[in-house]
Amino acid sequence: MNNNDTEKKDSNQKEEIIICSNSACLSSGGIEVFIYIFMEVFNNPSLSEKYVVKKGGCHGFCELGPTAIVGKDKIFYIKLDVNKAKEIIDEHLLNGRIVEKYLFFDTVNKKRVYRYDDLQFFQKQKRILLKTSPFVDPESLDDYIANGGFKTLEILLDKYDPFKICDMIEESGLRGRGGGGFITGKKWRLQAEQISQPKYVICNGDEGDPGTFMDKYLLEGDPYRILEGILIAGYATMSNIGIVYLRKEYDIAVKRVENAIRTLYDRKILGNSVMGRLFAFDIRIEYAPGAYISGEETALIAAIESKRGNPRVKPPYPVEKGLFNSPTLINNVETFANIREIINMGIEEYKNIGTKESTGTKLFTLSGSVRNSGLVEMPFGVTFNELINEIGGGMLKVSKLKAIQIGGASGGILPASLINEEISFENLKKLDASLGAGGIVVLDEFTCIVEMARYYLEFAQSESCGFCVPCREGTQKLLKLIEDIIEGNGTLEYIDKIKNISEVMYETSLCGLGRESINPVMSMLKYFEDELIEHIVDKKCRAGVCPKLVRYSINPQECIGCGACKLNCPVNAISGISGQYHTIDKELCIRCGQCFKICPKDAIIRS
Amino acid sequence: MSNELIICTIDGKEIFCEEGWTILQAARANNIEIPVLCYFPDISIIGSCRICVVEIEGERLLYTACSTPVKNGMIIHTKSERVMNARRLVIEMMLSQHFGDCLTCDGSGDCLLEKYAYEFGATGKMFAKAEFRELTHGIDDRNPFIIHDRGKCILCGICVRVCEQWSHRNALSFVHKGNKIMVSTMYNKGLEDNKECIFCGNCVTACPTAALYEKNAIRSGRLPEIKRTKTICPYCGVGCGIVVYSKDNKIVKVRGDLSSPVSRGRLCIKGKFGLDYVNSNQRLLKPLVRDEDGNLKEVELIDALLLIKQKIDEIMKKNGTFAGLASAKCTNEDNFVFQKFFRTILKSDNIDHCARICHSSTVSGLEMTFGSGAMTNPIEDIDLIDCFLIIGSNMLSSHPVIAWKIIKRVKEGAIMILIDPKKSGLSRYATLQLQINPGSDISLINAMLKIIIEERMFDTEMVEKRAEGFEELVKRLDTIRLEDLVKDTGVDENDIRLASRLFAISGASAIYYAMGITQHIFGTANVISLANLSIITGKVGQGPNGLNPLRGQNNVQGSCDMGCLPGVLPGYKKIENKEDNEFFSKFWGTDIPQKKGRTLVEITKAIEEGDINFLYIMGENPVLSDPDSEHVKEALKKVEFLVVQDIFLTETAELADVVLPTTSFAEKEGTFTNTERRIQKVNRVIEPISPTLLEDWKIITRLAELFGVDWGYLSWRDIFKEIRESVDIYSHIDIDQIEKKEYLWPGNQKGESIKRLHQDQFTRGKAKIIYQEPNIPYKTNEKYPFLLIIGRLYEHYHTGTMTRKIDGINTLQPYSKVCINPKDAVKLKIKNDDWVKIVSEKGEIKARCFITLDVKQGNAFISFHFKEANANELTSDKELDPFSKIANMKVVPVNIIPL
Repeated sequence: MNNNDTEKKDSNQKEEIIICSNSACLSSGGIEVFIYIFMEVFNNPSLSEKYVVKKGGCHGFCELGPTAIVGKDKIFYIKLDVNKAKEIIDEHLLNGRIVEKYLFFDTVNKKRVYRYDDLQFFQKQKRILLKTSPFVDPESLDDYIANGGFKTLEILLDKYDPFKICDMIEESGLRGRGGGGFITGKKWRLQAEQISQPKYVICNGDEGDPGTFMDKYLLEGDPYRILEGILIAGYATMSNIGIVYLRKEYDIAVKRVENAIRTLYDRKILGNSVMGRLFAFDIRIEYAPGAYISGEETALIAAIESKRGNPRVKPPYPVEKGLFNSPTLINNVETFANIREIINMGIEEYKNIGTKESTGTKLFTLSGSVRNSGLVEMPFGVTFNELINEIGGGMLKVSKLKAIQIGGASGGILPASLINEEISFENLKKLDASLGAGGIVVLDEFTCIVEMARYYLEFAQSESCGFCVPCREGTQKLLKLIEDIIEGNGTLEYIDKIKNISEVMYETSLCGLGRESINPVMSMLKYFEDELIEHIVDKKCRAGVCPKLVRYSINPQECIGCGACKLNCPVNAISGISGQYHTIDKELCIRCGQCFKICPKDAIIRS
Repeated sequence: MSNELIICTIDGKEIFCEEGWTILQAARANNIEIPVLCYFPDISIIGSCRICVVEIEGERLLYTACSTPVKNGMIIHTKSERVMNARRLVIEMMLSQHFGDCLTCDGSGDCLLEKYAYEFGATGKMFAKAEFRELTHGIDDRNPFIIHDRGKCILCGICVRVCEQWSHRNALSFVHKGNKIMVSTMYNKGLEDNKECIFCGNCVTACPTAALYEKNAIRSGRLPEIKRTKTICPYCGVGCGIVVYSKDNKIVKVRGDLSSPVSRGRLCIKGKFGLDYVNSNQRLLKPLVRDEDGNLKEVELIDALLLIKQKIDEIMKKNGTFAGLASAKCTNEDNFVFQKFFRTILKSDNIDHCARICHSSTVSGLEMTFGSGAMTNPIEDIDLIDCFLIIGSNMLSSHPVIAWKIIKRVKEGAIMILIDPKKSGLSRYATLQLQINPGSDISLINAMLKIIIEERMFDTEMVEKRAEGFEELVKRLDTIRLEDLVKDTGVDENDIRLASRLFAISGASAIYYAMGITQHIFGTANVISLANLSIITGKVGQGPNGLNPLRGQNNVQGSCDMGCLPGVLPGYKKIENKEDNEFFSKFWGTDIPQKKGRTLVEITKAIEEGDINFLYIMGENPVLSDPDSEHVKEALKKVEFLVVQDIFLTETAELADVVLPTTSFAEKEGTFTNTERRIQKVNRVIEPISPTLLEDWKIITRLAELFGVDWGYLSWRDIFKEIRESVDIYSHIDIDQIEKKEYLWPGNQKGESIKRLHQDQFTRGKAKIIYQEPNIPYKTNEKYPFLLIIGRLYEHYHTGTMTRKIDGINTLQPYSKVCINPKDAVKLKIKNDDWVKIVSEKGEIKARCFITLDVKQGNAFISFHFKEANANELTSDKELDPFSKIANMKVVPVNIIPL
């Protein structure tokens, strides 16, 4: 312990260089940067006296990786590589001159941002779960404990009755972050009331929605927080075994969680006597087989039981008969991440964050046509406007917001007119969308909603487990209809058909996947019916995406006869003499849009 | 159990429900039909077809009736607009992936998809047909039995679950996901390459469409011109119910009978695919008589019978003796008439049948200890057992359907202690397997008894109040040392200790045993040892606890009941008992022999010594089934006159002077009594394949008529009436109710069946504990260094008379294989499929070898189904069990010589 203390003091005195070590940063060269800076600092006595280099968790601004936060002032360098790192060491660390060109350039205010905290992307967020993560080494338990880790668990173990904790969680209004939005405390209480043994607590880290990655970053960036959450849940529900259910593809997360579990066992925080108290708890890792559906709770149970990862009918619910027919509590990674904060902050304070029915903060993965994409933490009740324009820094280039896709494959597509709507479980339900895991894709006007619906249906169709008929066949039938429309073969009857199939799918599907896979289609019908009718009646795609529904022609006034389009046409449908205007043979044209993209003068007209 | 009353309303009808009922159960109990596709009895509910959805008032979603439990106050609509629309759409969706053509489909008429499409008016035109993909919609017909037409598959998953939960195999599984999902095998290899598939065909029985279908039934008829008849499987003693589909007097296919209380639809390969022999062109159609040149020649039945009569008269005149072998394959009625013919007309008690060489030691052993030699408990009690002790039974091969029931229970958490010198299919489910040395059963049981007494795990009440001889047992056990016993068995003492504890302490324990126990020259001692074990632990005569011999043949229990044993009159009356003898003399109106006759092996010996002049064999093949085949053959050749009554020209029939053709089970009416003493009705499926064929009892009645005796039997009912009157244990059976009610013998005064024997009192009063001296006669020596274990294969049955006529089964198991441990194989320098010669004192056979770890070093295993490698040429009938006269047919010291 003494050793640790002195070390801690040491590192406290020293300034820190924190290199983000999450997979996005690591994959873009972060590992080399880290090794380089670490070696340089280590080998240079003058530097190692002053600085300590460590890994940090994710801060969500993944576009900018690899990043480094240097010194007490938290100077924030972005998009590093070894050469840039060398320059920073030479200039900044040795000479104290900040290398401005590697700082973040704020395009809105047209200036370089020096300090990490000054970044608008971070400033606007309300960070609870991600607050410490960027500055804490995800591979070091000491670092985590130094930042207040496992204090909460210790207090709870000593002073609180399990049922009391369930009450507290219920009172806090925490709702499951996996998409269902079930009151977490209620679930815990049901589990706590089960008398049969053993009881399992499963942390569901099998996220598979296109464009979501919050579980990954939580597990990579702050594994101990999740494990502490699981331990608290285990104590509160009087369970014995915790399972972290992980995707094997998340190799860094896997490694870190493995490491964290091992360390916790070594330090007697896990095992027969958790922190020396009369509470035994084990945690192990189970790997998800990889299918999207195996993140569904009953499918997940089947997968852990080494069966085919298929959902089953409920009831009985997992809390009654789950893993190996024992009571099983399943919560999302993000839900477990919240636990520590709820206890730390106190229920009242936590309840003040967010809306009345959806308390706390939510992690969003912002992607699509926004400037700053990445992981964002905001309280419930935040509007789309705030997310997109303030944190996301507005739309890319000159594109205009057309729609917002929220909640992944089971979510919905909301039109731009709803930009001022609040994001919360209750409000989204009103809008016929669902929060899902919190993925937000910002769509500009070059996105065809029909095509979007097709994309999500294709996803659902191939990710359906194939067991129940409405989901297996219904997705195929819907996809076929939408494809027909995109091909220009649709009729207005299709809309009724789509409605009927969707309705039956919703009513009769076995699990949530089938019920919610119609959400993109339903929201298309609700908010973008005119665009759909346009596809069917006018055979026109206003976004110009559906290849069969656009016509390309060349504006003779604009064309300078450069021949670029002619060269790039894959079917030789463009003819013309160099210097004179060119023409497109409509018979031959396959409407691939290459000419449209290549034309330097924007002389190609798409209609 | 809460006493809360659950009332729900279905379609406006108030229904009182039991707790735990699903909506489907509630509806079915009130004759409200709800369509189901993926629901099937006795398998888990997955609720995937979504056709059984119903509307529950106040709910936004529709709920599946098969999986949703009823709650008090639920208002359910099964036929509302929403429900019907959803169902129609679901059927339409299925039809869009359905590539079967009902016009040519074999399943038409029997197909649930067709039925519901009709009911909901789904035309299949709502959606465009899906694209045909060879992989997911193609036909797989590579294997000999099952055609898998994936284009007709509705992916209900019943076959997958039936495979897993009925047959406990994992041959079929869902492969891929989403729109590519299909039912297939591992790596799409096909069932024949898949070691998991045992071709039980239960998936075919369960398939709601014709996606899985019997290959040989394709284009041979469909409903309604097909006739369905319920009857009983003619193979093993389990007595599974089968539904035989026949057309034009030919058996088309066989399906399990879901209403059978024994099997609930389950069948094994033999019952499912093994009935083609009925229509085999090798069937005997006309009687054969040996002419002067020694060739068999066809004659009319009456001529053959007259010849027999003449011969009998001749032998009677010179005071010769007669002997008869009844058949465990024939009905109770056949056997009753057979023994009646012998006892009343030929005045001979030399009647025996193959029970002598399978379970006669059970009969004698249990008779001595309990007073009755049958399974003490019904099969249904398996569901209540916590600890199974399976000894000397390769159940998965010989009684698959019972084995599956036990495995199901084991999967639910029961313990299975398997005692078998070789590893069998059960090993992978066994909690503990004791691979004892062959023949060391008594040592093992004695060791267990010693441990149980030492650790005071015996049932004090049982040994004091309901049994006698306990003190003697304790005294005798004290004289032997545990170490010696353990050394005999060749297994670890701790394992024996564990097995003893598990068996003695578990809530309900049952012993299941078969021929591994009985077919020894100390078979009776083995059985008594097992009885000792169950008595002192109190695991018999109390609820589901029991000691259960598994009978081999479909009606071996019945033929024993009918008195086809020397000295045993119908209903186990003793011929040497004056009262019993008088009863039957009076009942039949003529004298019957006073002295006990000869047993099967004694008959062959007597023939050799010239003591028996006439032998009548009904439906048996002793040349293959009896010990020391060469010896049997010799005897049969030597006997003055041999009559064989069979459906095929068997190896035995070839030696006969007169061969009488007869009908198979499918052309008969009567009753079979299965291993759990259940009397089941056998129905006529087809008319005799030739008008010249008569049922066994009819032939004998005709013969009796020639002697001027008219028994007045017109149908099986007349005979059964006589059985009822003379056999106490059958007296409770109402002949008109036999197909509707369950009948097990014995019955009580009220006419109810007593399913569990020895409940308050053992049949003989107090159970008797008789100490058995351990004795292992099987010794290897330099000349014969291997111990050959003789047993059965799953695919074949007995001497192969029936199963080896089935092409498909022959392709699966075409020849005899001798299993050898790899270490021995290395020593012998042989590899898989090499020919080896197996030599015993009695004879030698050739077989190919199969190298496997299933047998211990120094042991080998061979089946006796193949006449080319007739294992019984190696066995000996020199030594017999002193009580039951059973010979050793299980273990032979042999030498294996590579060829």
